[in-house]
Amino acid sequence: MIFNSPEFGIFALIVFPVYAVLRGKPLRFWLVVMSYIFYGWANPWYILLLLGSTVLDFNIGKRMSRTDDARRRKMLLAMSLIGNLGALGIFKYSGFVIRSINDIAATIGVAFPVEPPDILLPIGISFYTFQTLSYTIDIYRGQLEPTDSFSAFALYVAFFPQLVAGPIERATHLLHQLEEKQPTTTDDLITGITRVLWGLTKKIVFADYLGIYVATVYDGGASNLDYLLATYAFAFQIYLDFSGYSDIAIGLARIMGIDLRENFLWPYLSRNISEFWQRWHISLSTWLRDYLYIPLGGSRKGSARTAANVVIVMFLGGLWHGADLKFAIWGLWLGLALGVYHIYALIFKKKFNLDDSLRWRDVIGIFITLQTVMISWVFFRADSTTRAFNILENFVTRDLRNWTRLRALNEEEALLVVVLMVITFGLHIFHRLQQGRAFLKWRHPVLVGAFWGGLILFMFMFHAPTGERFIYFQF
Amino acid sequence: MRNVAIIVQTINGVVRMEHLRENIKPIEQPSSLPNIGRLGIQSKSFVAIIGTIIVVLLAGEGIAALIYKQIDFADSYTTYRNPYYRRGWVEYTRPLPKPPNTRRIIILSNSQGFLEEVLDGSLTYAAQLEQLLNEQLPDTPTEVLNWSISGARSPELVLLAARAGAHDPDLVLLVNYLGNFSERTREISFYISDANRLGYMPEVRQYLPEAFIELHQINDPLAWLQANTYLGRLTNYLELPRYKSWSWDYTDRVLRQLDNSRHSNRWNDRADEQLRFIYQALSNSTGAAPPPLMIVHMPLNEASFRPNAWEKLQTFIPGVEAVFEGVDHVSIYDAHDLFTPERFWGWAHIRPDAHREFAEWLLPRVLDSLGESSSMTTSSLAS
Repeated sequence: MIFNSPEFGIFALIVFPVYAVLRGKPLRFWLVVMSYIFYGWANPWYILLLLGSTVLDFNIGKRMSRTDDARRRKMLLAMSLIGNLGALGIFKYSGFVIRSINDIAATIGVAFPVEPPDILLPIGISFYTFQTLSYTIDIYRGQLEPTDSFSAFALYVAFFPQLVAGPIERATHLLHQLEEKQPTTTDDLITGITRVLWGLTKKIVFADYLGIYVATVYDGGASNLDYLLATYAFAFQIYLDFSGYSDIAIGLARIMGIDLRENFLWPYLSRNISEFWQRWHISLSTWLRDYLYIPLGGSRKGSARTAANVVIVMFLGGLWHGADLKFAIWGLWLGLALGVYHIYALIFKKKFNLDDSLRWRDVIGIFITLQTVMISWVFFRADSTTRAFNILENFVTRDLRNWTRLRALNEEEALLVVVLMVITFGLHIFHRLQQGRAFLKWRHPVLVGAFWGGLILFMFMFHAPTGERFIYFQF
Repeated sequence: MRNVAIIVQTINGVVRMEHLRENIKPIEQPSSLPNIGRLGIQSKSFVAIIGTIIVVLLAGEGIAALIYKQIDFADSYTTYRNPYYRRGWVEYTRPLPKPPNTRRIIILSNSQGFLEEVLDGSLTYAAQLEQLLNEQLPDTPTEVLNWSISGARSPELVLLAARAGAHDPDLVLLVNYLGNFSERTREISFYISDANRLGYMPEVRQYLPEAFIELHQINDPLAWLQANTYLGRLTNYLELPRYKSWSWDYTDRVLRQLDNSRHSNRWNDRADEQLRFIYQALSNSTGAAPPPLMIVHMPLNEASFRPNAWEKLQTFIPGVEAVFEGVDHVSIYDAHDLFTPERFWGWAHIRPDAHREFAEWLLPRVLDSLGESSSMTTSSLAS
């Protein structure tokens, strides 16, 4: 089930009124059942996968806490890793691995008679696998006490607002909120609904409109100018799409008095690539930092090792997105950029604080970071690695005419793309400048109603003619 | 005031939740005002919010109505084809009273009738036919309404047929080929022209066969709102057209389908059903005495098709004849091989001079369907 569908509207109309009258265990049970319905809407069989992962990690967590035997704890952790990553591997990567072996075998002239399995990727598996893994790893590290409540843990794994595309939560942050559910406050409700409406606006107006023109260029023949425009448009599309989803998820949870982690903080105003990863898909980047980068040695083993660790982590982060070479290259490119930045920062003793105010001289850093990220988006959006390289090659080799004329888009469409990007970037700057300061303190019901009504009206009038799935649903 | 929930901050994802948690304390509700369950909001505030939303939406609708009524939409009486391209079918097909002693002919067709390659719509065969008819029968003014949709699919033609009755036509011409009848059934929103909005308008919907409504899932509440509110119609008017991403995708699909050997030489079953829907919608909308329906297999460029596809395309006429066997006021004509390949612009679009010639070819047949006799022959017109 997707948030921007009529089915979800009906789903929400059932979930929230019942939520409002239940408490304690029945409430958790209700939310678990509804989360499973939400997840199994397209394919009920995948509920078994979710349930399997839940039962496995709940029991491993409990057993791990009952023993001080380091070997046994390690074995239990290995079971959790094998169980979860095994399922992820089978469903997400087996086809990719077999296809790659076939390609290599064909290249060297050896027959490899194994057909890739025809498995449909269970939606959201990458997200909830990482979420449930963080639970057992935190218990193993002694950073978390396991929960005694199966319903709370089941809800932690399957909580419908963030089940399919994050934010990837940590048990240390979410689980206790589910165990001891607090009532929703007026602020929760108003903030939650506002955020849901804003997330929907980002998705169905801005992201979907940009998506139409990005698809027109990337799915057909185009000039360099088309590709340049479409790549920038895609950068904004994916930001609006994914951060819109996160806004809806955070807002829905907030309506139930639950606080989810922030996932985006104006990433395109980052002054360097390291800052970008602290502002983009924060729940994934911090997961990779805590459970991969630090165990690999982090920055404790010298500059060369730090850079290598960064590249390895980003490469795997790329593969997390999809079983495709283009995602691996996407991760590798950003990893290399991060590695280079780390070395630069070490040599020139550059430090930055995420909360530092922007200055004019930061414009150069922002520009370079944006272009670095832009190159990575070509791989992310193109149908294949070959096509991505072709597009980048054309940027360099094609003659000037290809930079001065549009082929896939007409002038009206190009103008609309530019206007949408300018609006999005303008909001980016405005929000960044407002960091940490309240500029609207009103909560009068009439003003709130006017704001919501205005957003509904805006969405109704300016939603894109084609409704698209959220991009991150494919991962 | 302790409540610092900041709406716009929240929108931005600015708010660090730790910061919020520190500053926001649960609100103590006055006991006299009941809360809505565990959702911490006073009923009074809730009513005020909902009330304001309704007021905002109604105000928006009122403003949209004012703007919409100021727009001078083109109609099919004064223009040769829909100036909104694939959009605006609600406005373009709105009926005007029929002047006395006037004939009306409605043409339901596809991109061939639209003639998108030239800006001058008076070159379309519909406009040419109107001119010829008015020359032939000067005492009976004839209005030919060109309802050709670029990229038309049969469900869109059904909707236009249901719209036709309101115009009191004396003849309806269906100029198409097999490619307009897709074998796949899709929900109505799939079809690219916004003729699908007609399906949500009560004055059109009442004439649609129930099976058609069910088959194409014409039941989306949001689409209903868009078709029946000024806000929705204005949105449609403001929407930027998308020229580049539809037509050739569609063509490729049709050609792939035709090339598929499994389907070669087989009449498309869906076409049977859709032709019946067109006929039913037309009959329902025109009442007890439906106008004659003239079905014409449009001219095609043989050079653009593989042999098995070309062969399959020719099953259109026998298929139509089978569907309308024994129906009096339906006449069927075949023009699929009327022109040689050089008279075409592409795979199926005839050039303007061929439009003129096609109109001349249609003239005697149209007169015949209208119960008039032609004083000129096609060859004399051509000369």
